Amino acid sequence: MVVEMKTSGSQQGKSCDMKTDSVFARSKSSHFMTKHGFLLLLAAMAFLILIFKQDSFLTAVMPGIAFVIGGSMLSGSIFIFLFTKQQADPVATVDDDTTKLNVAQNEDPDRGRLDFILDSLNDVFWSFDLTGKGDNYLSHSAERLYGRPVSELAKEPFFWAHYIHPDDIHLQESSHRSLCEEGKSECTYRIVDHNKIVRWIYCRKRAIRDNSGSIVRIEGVSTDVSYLRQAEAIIEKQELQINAVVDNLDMAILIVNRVGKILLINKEAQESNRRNNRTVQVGMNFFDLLSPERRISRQTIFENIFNSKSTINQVVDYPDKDGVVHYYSVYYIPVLGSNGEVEQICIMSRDITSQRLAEEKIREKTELLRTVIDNLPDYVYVKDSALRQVINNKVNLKSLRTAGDDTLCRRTSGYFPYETTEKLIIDDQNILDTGIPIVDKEEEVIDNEGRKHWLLTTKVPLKNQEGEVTGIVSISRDITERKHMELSLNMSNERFEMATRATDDAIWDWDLVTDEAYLGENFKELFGYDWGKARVNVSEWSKRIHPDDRDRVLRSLEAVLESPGCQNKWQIEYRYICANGTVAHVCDRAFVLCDESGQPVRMIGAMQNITEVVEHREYLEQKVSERTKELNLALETQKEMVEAKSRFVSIASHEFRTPLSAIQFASGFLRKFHGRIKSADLERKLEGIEKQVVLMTALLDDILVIGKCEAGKLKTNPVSINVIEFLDKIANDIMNTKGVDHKIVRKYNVPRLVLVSDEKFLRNTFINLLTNAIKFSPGKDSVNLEVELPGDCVRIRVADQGIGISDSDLTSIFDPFQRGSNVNGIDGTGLGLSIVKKAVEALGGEISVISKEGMGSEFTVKLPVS
Amino acid sequence: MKKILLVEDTESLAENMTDLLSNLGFEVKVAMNGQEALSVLSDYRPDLIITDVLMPVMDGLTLTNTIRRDIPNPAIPIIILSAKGTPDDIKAGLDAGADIYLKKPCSVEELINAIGTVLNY
Repeated sequence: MVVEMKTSGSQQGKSCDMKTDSVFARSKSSHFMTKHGFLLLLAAMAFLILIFKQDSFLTAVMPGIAFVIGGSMLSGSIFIFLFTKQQADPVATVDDDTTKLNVAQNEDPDRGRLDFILDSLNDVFWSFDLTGKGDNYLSHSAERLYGRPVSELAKEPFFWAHYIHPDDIHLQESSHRSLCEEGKSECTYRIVDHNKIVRWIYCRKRAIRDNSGSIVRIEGVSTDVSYLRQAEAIIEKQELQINAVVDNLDMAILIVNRVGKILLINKEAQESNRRNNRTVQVGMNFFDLLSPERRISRQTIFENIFNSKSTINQVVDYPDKDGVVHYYSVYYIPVLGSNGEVEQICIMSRDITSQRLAEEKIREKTELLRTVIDNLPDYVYVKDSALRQVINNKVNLKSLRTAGDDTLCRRTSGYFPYETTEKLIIDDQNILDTGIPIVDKEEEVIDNEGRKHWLLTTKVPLKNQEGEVTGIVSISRDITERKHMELSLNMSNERFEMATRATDDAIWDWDLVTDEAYLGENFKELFGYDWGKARVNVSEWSKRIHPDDRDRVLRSLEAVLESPGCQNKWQIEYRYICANGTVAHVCDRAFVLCDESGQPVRMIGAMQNITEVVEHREYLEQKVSERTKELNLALETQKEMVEAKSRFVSIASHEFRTPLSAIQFASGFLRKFHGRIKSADLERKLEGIEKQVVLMTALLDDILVIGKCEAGKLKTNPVSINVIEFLDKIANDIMNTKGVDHKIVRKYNVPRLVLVSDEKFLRNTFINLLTNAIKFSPGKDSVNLEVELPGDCVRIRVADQGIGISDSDLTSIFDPFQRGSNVNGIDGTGLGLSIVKKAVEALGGEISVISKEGMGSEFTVKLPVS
Repeated sequence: MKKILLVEDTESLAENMTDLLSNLGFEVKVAMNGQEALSVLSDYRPDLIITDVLMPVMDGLTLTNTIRRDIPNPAIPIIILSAKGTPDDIKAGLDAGADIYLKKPCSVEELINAIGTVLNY
């Protein structure tokens, strides 16, 4: 431990001007101090603590550390006490050895007590004589520090120099200079003790001079302050940490004492002041920074804190240097001193401008949201986890029959009766329990007035960050009106469907806006297309119209859709291709529905399968056509017949006029010349007249036969006829007739042939043909009659070698009154062949002729052999 | 003696008329149809032609037309005596160039009047 004084020490010592100091002055009242030592001790401690606390806030913050410091102060004060005691009683005569000390202790009871105290302290007290005449003193605690007996050490006034830490030697030197110049000094330095442990030593010492001013003695106290230094280092470190924390907080922190003196200011506080062109430092007064008004208000706050000892928080607004207002949340936190009073106030201030703005925005948003939900026609409410209604929009509030704010904290509403409410709450509770939302649920509820309501409700859970359900949001819309419409629509749809089923027609319903169509179930039955109940594009319908009809149908549709007016009716017939490829005839009837603006939006129609009707119609038309044709033909025939009859009558009458003229002229002749007519001429004239009458009679007979034929009155009377016999008889009769010179040469190529035929018709036919053959072959002596049987018919041929028939006459030779142009006075009615033809045809046979003018003719009658 | 060409295909009538007209002092020549009449006319010039209409080979109307076309001067009077007697028939005959159209059967007096008319006596 202890003091200095190397060789250099004495040199400096001489130049030192040593003067008495206050410690010395006080030593004169040592007696007083002795008697009242403990009081003084306490006073000194209090004094030191006070001073120390003024230097550092740490005492307030860290009482534990303060205790350590306090402890060191205690040692200091003890030192002073001891020092003065020594001075007052210069017993501190340190002999060569400790024995003397002990003796001295024994001799003086006070001295003994003092020694005991000194020895029990860790501080080392020492006093060394520089003259070599006086005693040295070293307290026993030195032994603990240096590891050697005091008796040894006391003999070596400079033993301690060996222990000084090499780095701290210069401290000792400067300390010695102070001692020489000022008579006292103090310093802290390190030693390396006998255990090679570095220790911190705090040493205070003084020099005692003689009358000439030379230093004769140096004495002092050396204290091991290693623990103190360690504590200080910890404190320093922690102080740095705290400052780092405090400086890096984004809030401004000031610690002031009761009068406003700034004890601590963190970086943020400094910077925020600097931003406002103000420098604030420790030691300045907080109140001086404020405007007069604010100063008063803060002083009031301080007063309040002094009284209440509780934290005060307020939000203040300061405009910054640019005039922009900032908001600060300021906490005034009392720091209580050991006396329980407020000693310091910690002011913490945070700029909450952005937070305020954010809150402002949130409020605006909230209000906006509020406005929105209040103006919704839906019932909107929010319930908390206890199913208390925490938010209700206006509509819902109205339903609750409650006005005012929505924090009603009710479980149920008064709008619906108990049962309804319970039902609604079950859902709410389910969502709370399960967290599963209810979306678009249709609910039927009955209000207090017994009216049925339909609600469309969506309820979703509210969840916190942990995913727990904390409430529910419910939105319900009163869809009663819509529901009624839907129900009536459903009913009408059902009616529609029933009607669809009841009818045989295929109903269709075409949405002109989407071009989609509902094509009724009957499409399947009628045409084989099954579209079910689905809506299909209308092209599904239109593409199946028969290609030949499609354009016409679509044009007609366009026309009805473009024509003005609503409920326009449409009707058209066309062909429709069925699923199996067949073609159906349909009659499509529809009407157009328009929206309010008169725009066509929908078209509803029914397709009737009229295939059968059309087919029947076509059948009838065909029939009518056939009948008409027949009728026309009949009419034509009739007309022709009438014309033919008329022509016949005309020709017949003409045929009568010629013989009548002959008779007229004959009778005229007789009358005119009767006086001079010879009897032979008379006879000739009368014969001529009779001949004309016979001719006219024959003509009349033939005309009657023709008339019967034309009227279809020819009735055959079939009998068995032996053809050969029959023909032979006719031939013989003709050959036996007067005036007939021709022979009829017969050639029968069949021995016997029996026909079932009409005898009269057959006779008439062959008399006509045979007499014609004879008549038109004048000058010839024979005609031929030939019969042959080639198969299932019999051919009877009559041929002559007469005048023949010209080609131009041949085509009309069977027509009535047609006679060959070459007949040249050969009598005839011109009806014979016409009658023959009709007779043969009536018997089911045919007649044909081959002839050449001048060469003769050959008539062949072909008759069926039954 | 006036000469008459009678064109008539019906033998009995032609005979009766020839008897009548001969006894009335006319020279009568008979042709059986129009064609025959034309061939007669080639070397024979009658004062009057009396013709039937409906005849084979060439009818009376054709004959009349031909005569009017081929023998314009001096025009031979033509009397048509026909069983056809509708107004159309009569018009057709007159249009063809006949002077008088008589319908069968006509009386001797009618015929004599007609002949007298066309021969101006």
